[in-house]
Amino acid sequence: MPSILILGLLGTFCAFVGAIGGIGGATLLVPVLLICNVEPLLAAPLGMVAVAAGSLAAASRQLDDGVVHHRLGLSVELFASMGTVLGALLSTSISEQWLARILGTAALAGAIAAIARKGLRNQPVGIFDDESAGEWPGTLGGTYTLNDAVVPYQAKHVGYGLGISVFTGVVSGLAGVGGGFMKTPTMSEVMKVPVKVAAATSTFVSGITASTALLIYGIQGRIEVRPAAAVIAGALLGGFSGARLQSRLNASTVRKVTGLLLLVVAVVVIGGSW
Amino acid sequence: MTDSTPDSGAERFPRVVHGPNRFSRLSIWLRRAVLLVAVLAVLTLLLPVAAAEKLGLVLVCLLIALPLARVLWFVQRWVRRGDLRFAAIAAGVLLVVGVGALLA
Repeated sequence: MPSILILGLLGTFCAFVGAIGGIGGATLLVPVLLICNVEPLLAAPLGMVAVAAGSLAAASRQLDDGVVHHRLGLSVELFASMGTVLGALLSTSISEQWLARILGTAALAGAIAAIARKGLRNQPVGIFDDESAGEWPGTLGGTYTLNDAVVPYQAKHVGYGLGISVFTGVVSGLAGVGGGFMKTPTMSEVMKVPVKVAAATSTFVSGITASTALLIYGIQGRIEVRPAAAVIAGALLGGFSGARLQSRLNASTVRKVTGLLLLVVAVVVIGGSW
Repeated sequence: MTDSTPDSGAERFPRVVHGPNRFSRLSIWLRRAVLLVAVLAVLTLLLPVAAAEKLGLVLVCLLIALPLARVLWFVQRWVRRGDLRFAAIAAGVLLVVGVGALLA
């Protein structure tokens, strides 16, 4: 295990890059920890700690902006949590070699998602001037702010989206990543929710996924509190500063750089497992 | 659950003109929680090992409990507002987490 200082710095760096690139902190942190010779069984809880801290740090700002769709998020999370429980329970019975391969594959998927992601996926279909952004009660629709206009949206292909969520939950539970890099494209590409809403909703539900997995990891005795505290402090610091800097940088470029970084990490982790 | 159309449920739950800060109370509590978690994390790193272990445990428990408390907040909010379908879904999330803990 790296020193507390190194863990704190890693937590800060990964959360910073994750916040800027919109891929979440753990997607980068867990593979980096593996490269630092941390056992996968201990790296996964540290990754989840980073996810929970990042989700908490972003929560109030996203609530104020009205970009989180809680009804959609909890519908997705109901199915993702089932997968997370299954994955977290299975993670102790899978060999470290295979766990490293799964983590590497998760990093690879994160890299592809980061590189392939584009700006505006769903073009606005109308403008409502009479309300502020937010979700509509009783539905999976709502409005969000785009270029100073309030634009409506509605989730589609909900059944497919929920089915994919079970799979993302299993990967999260096994690998110790929040799965935001899978949940955001699921909501955006499959369910046709605006990417801004999908990303914020994904951050919200990733916190619940992390909570579920941490509860199980804690019962299994896999959480070391001082390393966890270092990662939490680092993730909060990195998450805040990354979110502040995000608006000043070209997000597309940063995402691509992050994606390339993840690609290298994935190759190293998968290569090292053979 | 089936695919939703743009108007699904709209007749039961007419579109609401939201106030700008309808989650302001929750937002304030979340800001305080972030501050508390940050302070606990720093103290866990600075205190001697024995005390740090106990404080760290509180920190991890808090990190686990906060997202679940947020879900619970939505359950009671949606029950009060008659949005029972989504209240049941949110309660289902908490149930799955509980079952997961029992299985572990």
